[in-house]
Amino acid sequence: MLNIALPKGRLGDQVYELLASVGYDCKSIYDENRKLVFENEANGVRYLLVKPSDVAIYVEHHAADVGIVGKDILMESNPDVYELLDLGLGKCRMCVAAKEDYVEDRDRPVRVATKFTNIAKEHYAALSRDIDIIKLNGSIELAPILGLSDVIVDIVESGNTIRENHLKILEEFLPISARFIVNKGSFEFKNEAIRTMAGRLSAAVQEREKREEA
Amino acid sequence: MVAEIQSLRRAEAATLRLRSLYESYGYRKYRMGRFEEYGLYAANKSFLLSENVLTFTDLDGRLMALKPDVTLGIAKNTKADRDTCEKVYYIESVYRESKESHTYKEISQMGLECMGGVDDCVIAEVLALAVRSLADFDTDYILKISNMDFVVELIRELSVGTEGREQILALLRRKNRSDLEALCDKLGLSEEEKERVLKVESLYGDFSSVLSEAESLADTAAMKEAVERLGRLYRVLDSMGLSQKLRLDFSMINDIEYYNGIIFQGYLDGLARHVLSGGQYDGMMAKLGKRADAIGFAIYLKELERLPEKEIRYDVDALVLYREDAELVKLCQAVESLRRQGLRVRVEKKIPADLRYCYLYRFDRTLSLEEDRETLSRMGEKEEKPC
Repeated sequence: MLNIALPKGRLGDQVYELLASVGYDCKSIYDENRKLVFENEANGVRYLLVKPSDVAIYVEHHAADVGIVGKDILMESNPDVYELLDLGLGKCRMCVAAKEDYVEDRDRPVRVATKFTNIAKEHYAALSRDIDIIKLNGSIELAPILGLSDVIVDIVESGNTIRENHLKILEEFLPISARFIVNKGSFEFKNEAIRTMAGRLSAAVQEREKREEA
Repeated sequence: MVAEIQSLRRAEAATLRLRSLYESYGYRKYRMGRFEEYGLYAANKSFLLSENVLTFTDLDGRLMALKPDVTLGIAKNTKADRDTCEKVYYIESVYRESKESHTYKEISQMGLECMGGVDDCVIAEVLALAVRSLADFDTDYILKISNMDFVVELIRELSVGTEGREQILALLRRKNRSDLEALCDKLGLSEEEKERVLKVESLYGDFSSVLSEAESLADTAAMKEAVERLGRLYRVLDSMGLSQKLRLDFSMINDIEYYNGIIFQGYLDGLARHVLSGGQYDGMMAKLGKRADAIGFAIYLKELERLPEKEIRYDVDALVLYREDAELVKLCQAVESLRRQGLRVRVEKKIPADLRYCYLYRFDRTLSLEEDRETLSRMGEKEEKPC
C-alpha cells in the first residue's frame, strides 16, 4: 500500500487525473464529503488530501510515502526527500515585481514583501544585495501599492494579477512546476512500487509533452 | 533483574546489546567531555550537519562549545598512525539545532570509529558491524553502500568548474533527474558526458547487478579500483552471511572535502530516515594534521524511539494496598516475598488513578496478603495468583 499526499485544490485535481490515467484511480475521491483519506485496495493506493504547503512535511516524516508538491514549496522549506520527477503540471515562475514606475534606490536596502522568505533571501544574497523582508501570507500584490514594500517576490502564472494591479515584472528567476517527491525510508522498503509509479508517471508526462509540441 | 530488562525501551536495550557486540570485536569504550573548545568545530563547519553550535564563554575566557559531534573530538585526540588502528566506540549526547523547532536539542548517539591504517580488512569489519547493529534492532533493515571515489572521479573528468560540480552532486543526492538533465544542458556538457552523469543517478539497487553496470561505466584506473573494492568487500560480507540486505546506491555522496571512499547508510522498515550513517573520512584526518586514515559510523538512537514499542500492558505486576494501622515489619516482609518472585511491586494506600497493574493485594489485619479476587474479575483478568 502506497500513501500518496495529494495537495488540495486545482493542482491536486490535475495530479489525481494524471495518477488515475496510469492505473492509480480511487473512485471514492469524487464523493462529496469531508473525508481526507481515500483508499483503493485493489491497486494499492491511499490518497491523503492535505494543504499544499504541508505535502512535503507529510512525506519527510513518513506519514506519506510519496507526494506531489510545487517546486516553490520545496525550495522554500528544503525538506529531506528525494525529488524523483518533474510532472510538468502547475507551471509558473518565481518573479520579482514592483509598481510600474518603480526605480531602484541603490543607496538603501530593498524592502521585499513575500510569502517565500527563504527563496527571496537566497536570491538577493546571490546578488549581494541587502534586503529587508516583510513576510506576508496572501494578497502580496497589495504591498507595493500601499508602500509597504518596494518589490514583491511571488509566483506568477498568467501575469493577470500583476497587470491588473499596475505592477510590472522586473525579473523571472525560477521556473516552478509540480514535483513527485519520495520519503527516503519508503524509497528503500517500497522501492518496486515507487519505481513502478514513477515510471508510469514519467511515461505519461512525456506523452503529454509530445502531444503539446505537436 | 529480569523485570528490569523487560521494561527497558528499545533504544536502551539496543545500547546494551551493541556495547557487548562492539566489545566482542575488540573495540574500547571512549568517553568524551561534554565541552570542547569552539575552535575545533569552527574550523570544520562543513563536516558538521549544521553550522550552528551551542557555545558559551568559560570562566577563563575561552569560547567553548557543547559538542555537536563526537567524531571530530575523537579524531583530534587520536595518536594512531598507519601501522596500527585505534578502535573505539562511544555512547554520547550531542547538541544540535532542530530545524523544525528552531531550537537546540540534545540527541543521543552511539557509534564507533577506526583510526589508523584503514585497509579492506578494517572496512569489511566496520561494514559487518554496521549490518549486525541493524540486524539487532529486531525489524527489517537495509544497508546501502557506495564508493564515493567512483562518482568523484567521474565528476572530476567533466569539463565544468567547482561550482558546476557541486550543483551536479547536490542534484544527484536528491535523485532529481529532471533538473539534472536541465543543469547538464546549462553547463554545456556533451551528450556523452550528460549520459554518464544521468547513468550515475540510476545506479541503485541489487548489489551484484548494479556493480556490473558501474563496471561498464568505469574508464579510469581510479574508477575501476573503486568498483573492484566494492566487489571485494561484498565477497567478504557474503562469506559471513551478511549480504542479503545490502544495496548499492551511487547517488549517495557526502561532502567531498572530508569524506572519501566507502560510504554507507542503514535504514529500518517503518522509519522516515536513515538510522545509521558512516564512511571513510581521510580528508578530515588530513585537515587535522593526522597521519592516519579513518572510518566509522554513528547510530541515531532518537530515531529508534519512533519504532513501535512492545505494548506495555502493566506499569507494575502487583499493587499492594495497606492501611494506616498495618504492622510495618510484616508488611515489608510480605512485599519482599513478592519481589523475590520477580514481580514489580508498588505499595500504596489508595489505588493511584493512572496505574495499570496485574494483581491487587490488600494487606489486612490477618497480616497476610489477600488477593482481591473481586478486582481481578472486574478487570476481566484470569491470571493465576503467583505462588
